[in-house]
Parts: sequence; C-alpha cells; structure tokens
Amino acid sequence: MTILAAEHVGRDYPQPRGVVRALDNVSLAIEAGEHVTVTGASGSGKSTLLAILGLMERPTRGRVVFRGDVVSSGREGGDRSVSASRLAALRLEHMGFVFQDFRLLRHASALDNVRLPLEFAGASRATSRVEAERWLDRVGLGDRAHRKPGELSRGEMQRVALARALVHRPAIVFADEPTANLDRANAERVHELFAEFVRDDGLTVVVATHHHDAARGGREVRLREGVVES
Amino acid sequence: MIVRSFALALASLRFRGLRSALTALGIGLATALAATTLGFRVGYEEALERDVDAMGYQVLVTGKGCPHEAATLILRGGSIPMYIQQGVAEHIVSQPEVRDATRFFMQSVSSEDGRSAQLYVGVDERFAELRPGIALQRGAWFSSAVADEVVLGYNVAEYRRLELGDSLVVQGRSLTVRGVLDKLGTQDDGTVFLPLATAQDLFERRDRLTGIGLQLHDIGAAGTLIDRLYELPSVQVVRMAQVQATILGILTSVEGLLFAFGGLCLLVAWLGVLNAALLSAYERRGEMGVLRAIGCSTPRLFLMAWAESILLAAIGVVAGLALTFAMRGGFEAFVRDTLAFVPAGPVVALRPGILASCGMAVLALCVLAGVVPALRSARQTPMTTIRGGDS
Repeated sequence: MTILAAEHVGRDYPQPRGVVRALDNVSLAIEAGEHVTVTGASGSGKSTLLAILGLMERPTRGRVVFRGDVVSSGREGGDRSVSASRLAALRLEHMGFVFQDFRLLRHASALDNVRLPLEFAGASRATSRVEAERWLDRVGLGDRAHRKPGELSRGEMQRVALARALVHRPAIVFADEPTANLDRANAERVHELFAEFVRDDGLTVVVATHHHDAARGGREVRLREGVVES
Repeated sequence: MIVRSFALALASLRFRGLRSALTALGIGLATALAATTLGFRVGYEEALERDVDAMGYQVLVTGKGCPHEAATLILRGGSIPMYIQQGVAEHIVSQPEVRDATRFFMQSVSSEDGRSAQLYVGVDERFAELRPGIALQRGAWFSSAVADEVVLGYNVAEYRRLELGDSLVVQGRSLTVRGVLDKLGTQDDGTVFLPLATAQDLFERRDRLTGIGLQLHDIGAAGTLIDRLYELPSVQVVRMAQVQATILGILTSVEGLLFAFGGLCLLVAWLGVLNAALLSAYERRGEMGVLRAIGCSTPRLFLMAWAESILLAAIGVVAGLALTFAMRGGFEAFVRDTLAFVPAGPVVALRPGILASCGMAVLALCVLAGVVPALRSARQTPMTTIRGGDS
C-alpha cells in the first residue's frame, strides 16, 4: 500500500541571479514498510525532496499525497495544500525526523529530548517518560537518559535523535544524511537500527545520503541535479 | 503544556547561565533603584513630618534671619548665631493666642578632629511637657533650673557608655548624668539636654535664646499672631507647617529628576530583556526549526520562547526586591552625605505597596519586551533546520 507519494514535484528557489531549480518533475511512491534511500551528490536535491515529502516545505509544482489525500501542492495548477498548522499536526502524528547534525536541544537531557514529540501530542508526563525511557533502551542508551547532548558522543547523540524520531510511533521516518557526521562504527550502528525498525516494527524509512554504499536492504532512488535517475 | 514549557525555558536559561544571570541582575538593579527612589520620596516626607511633629509646637520664633533656615537648623541640630533676648521672649509668650511655650538654647560643638559634632540643647521646664512622645528610659529630669546636670538622648548614652550618675565634661565643666531618654527615632536620640540656664551659662550666652516654640489655643489665629510678632525688631516667626512645606518643596524640585532616574532604570531593564530575548531568538533559530519540524504548534513554540522572558523577569524582580533591602542602608548613608537636610530616622520607606508596584511595573515591561522575540521564534519554519539554522 502506498503511504506517501510525490507526483510531478518541482521546487524552485528564487536567487538574485535567477531561479535555481532544485527539483524537477520528481515522482516517487513509497510503500508502507519500505526502506528507501535517496542518493545523489551534494546539491542534487536530496534534502529538498525529503523536506517536501516530510511536509516541511511545499513544492513549487506537483503535489504530495499522504495515505490517499493531497496534503501539499504547488501553486501552479491550484494550491490544494492543507494549512500550516494541519501540516504540523500531520508531522507530529505520522512522521519522525532525523537530521545530519542531530539537532537536539542542548540544554535538555536525552530523556527530555526524546519525550518532546509525545508532550507536543498531549501525552501525560508519566507516559512520555516511560515511553522515552523505553526508546532510549532500544537504541542502547538507557543508562544515558539524564545526560545532556554535550555529555554524549556523536554516535550517542544520533541515537538519541533516532529515539526522538520514533518515540511517538510514526508511520514514516525521514533521515537526512544521518551518518554523515559519524565514524564508521557509529554509522554502522545507526544503519543497523534503521534496518531493525523496518524489519521488526514495519516502519517506513526514507534516508537521504550521498554514499551509494549506504543504500542497503532497500530501494535506492538516485537524484542528479534535481531529477530522478533511477 | 504550560508547566513543561516553563521547565524547558528554565533549563535553557540555566544553559546560558552567565547571560541569564547578567540580564536578571540588570532587571534586579532596575527594580531596586526604582523601588528605592519611590521609597525615598515617601520615606523622606514621612520622616520630615515625624520630626516636625516631634518638636511639639506649631509656631517657631527665632532671632532675625531666615526663619526657614533657622527652622531647618533646629530640626537637624546646629548652632544659630542669632539670638532672642530673654526680655523679648517674655513679651512673646504673654501674647493672648499663646497657650503654652518652650524656650531653648542650642549649641553644636565639633569634635577635635572636626569630623563629628555634639548637639547640646538647653531647655526650660515646659520642654518635656510639650514634646510629644518624649519619655525617660531611666533616671529623671533636672533637679533644678540651674543644676549642673544632663539628660542624654538614647544614642548618646549608648555610644558614650554613660550611666546615671556618671560625669560628662562639657566646656571644661563636669555635669552629672541625671536621666536617659527612650529611643525616639528623631534628632533627640543624639542630643544632650541641659537646664536652659546651665546651657546659657556654659556657652556664655546668658539671657539669650535660640528659639521659642509656641503652642496656640487656635492654630487659625496663627496669622494674626505672626503679623503682630513681625513688628518686633529682632525676631522672625514661622509656622512649622510652612517649614515642612518649604523643605518638601525643595524635594519636589528634584522629584522630576528622581522619576527620570527611575524611568531610566525601567528602560534599562526593558532593553536588557529585549536584547537577551532577541539574541536568544536569533541563536535558537535552528532549535525552534527542529521543534517546528517535529510538530510543535505555533502557540506552544511562542509560549516556550516567551516563558524565558517571563522567568528572567520574575527572577530579576525577586532578586531586585531583595537587593532593595540590601541597598537601603547604603542609599540612606548616601543621601545623608549628599543632601543639606535629611530628617532623622529611616528616609526610605519600603512599604509592600511600593515594592509591589515597582515589581509589577518592571515585570510587566520585561514580559512585554519578550513578546516580539517570542513571535519571531514561533514563526521559524521547519526548513530552518534543513538549511542548517538559517531561515
């Protein structure tokens, strides 16, 4: 079953020297439980595609369909996007995000970082604590729950970010260059965790990376200058 | 949601500890200075009223010269080189409007190093009767109108460690301590009282008076009496209420300056919070973008950012109120060194109403200062995160 689809999506960025076309006529359907890796060189449009699929940015052209409903579309041909607050609610309910440089709140403990999505969703303090502890255990950081990001290694920080992306049980997780700042061992650990969540939890994962060898155990979508190559 | 927003805001403030502490200190100083300024205005007026009431008379007659200056000198304690002849005094107190009167002679003697002075006041037998609230803590008033005796103000007895029967040498003459007054919180606490004739003799001003305090049957008749007394060639007459009004008038002239100072304090606090909140909003663009990306709503994001300003303001105001009490002694010492006349007793009134109004004003300003930065934070797009912190 297709959970998310990009239909003829294009994205332009106006610049002083003219319009930069980051994506052009990209169509992509992602099935539930699928592990998709978007690869391509720097500037090929991977992050922009993830941002559009993750409902963080609207396309200039085309549309994004989530579980059969158009949720975001370009102004060309009539804007059928839902409101920004509805998009935020969709992200909170169904999506998780992992970023290249972790993006944890530096002043909050690992536990407090992980429980954020649950708190935004209105979970009680006790529930969010129990769930956050459970997910920290799953990523192997149960004993680091009360440490702040500055007291964790980069690999540990990315695993905290992974727990934060999964704690509210989203249908789909987007990871933008999640291993780019990690050493080989930590990068391997993160890939293993993604594979485990897809296999054991039926999670849908979309990973953007410029490493071709990172596309393992799933479908690879290659981008080149904003266009899908394969 | 509100509790967690404040908990996260507190964690964020602690993370930026030095900046938060400096901003809170700025707010605290502004609160303290505003409260002290306002408290001084109220406290000074009350202390002056207390001092004037403590004199126990409504009209003061002094030797020729500026009567307001003389009254001020009498209030603060000092030597006035103009005197009233005893014979003129008898004429004055015999006026029909006068119900009662007290004659006094006042002399200030500097210490050898010139850094302090002791006030000696010779008083007649009516002094203790007219002075409201004056009471002996121990001992008695003078045994006769010419006795070589003194009654000490509370502070004089404390500082000099003098007891009843001890000897106090004044102008080379030994006087016996006959009594010690209760603590009054006025100039009297630092005064040595002698029988009027003894004081006049001691300072070689026989039959001379510094002033006469008059109590009238009817204060409404003061105008008539004053007009009549002005016909005497060697005296000046003034109502104590006029003295009070004159001194307060001088204070009122600097009131604008005081309130401008207070306003400046509030402006500094407002700018401090605005600056800290804007800086925080700028630095945390990426952080806010992440929260937006993971689904935080705009109102919640606004609350999280605003909570920092609210907490900073609250911490600053509480610290400021504590600072107000800590600064009080230093401020009082400063105004006593600076102003020509300061009434006895505390002149900074730190009433709950004053503290509350200053605290609330600073709090409201600082909380409002946080609104715009919080709105800017709440408007961050999720793409801020994807693009590496730049929106």
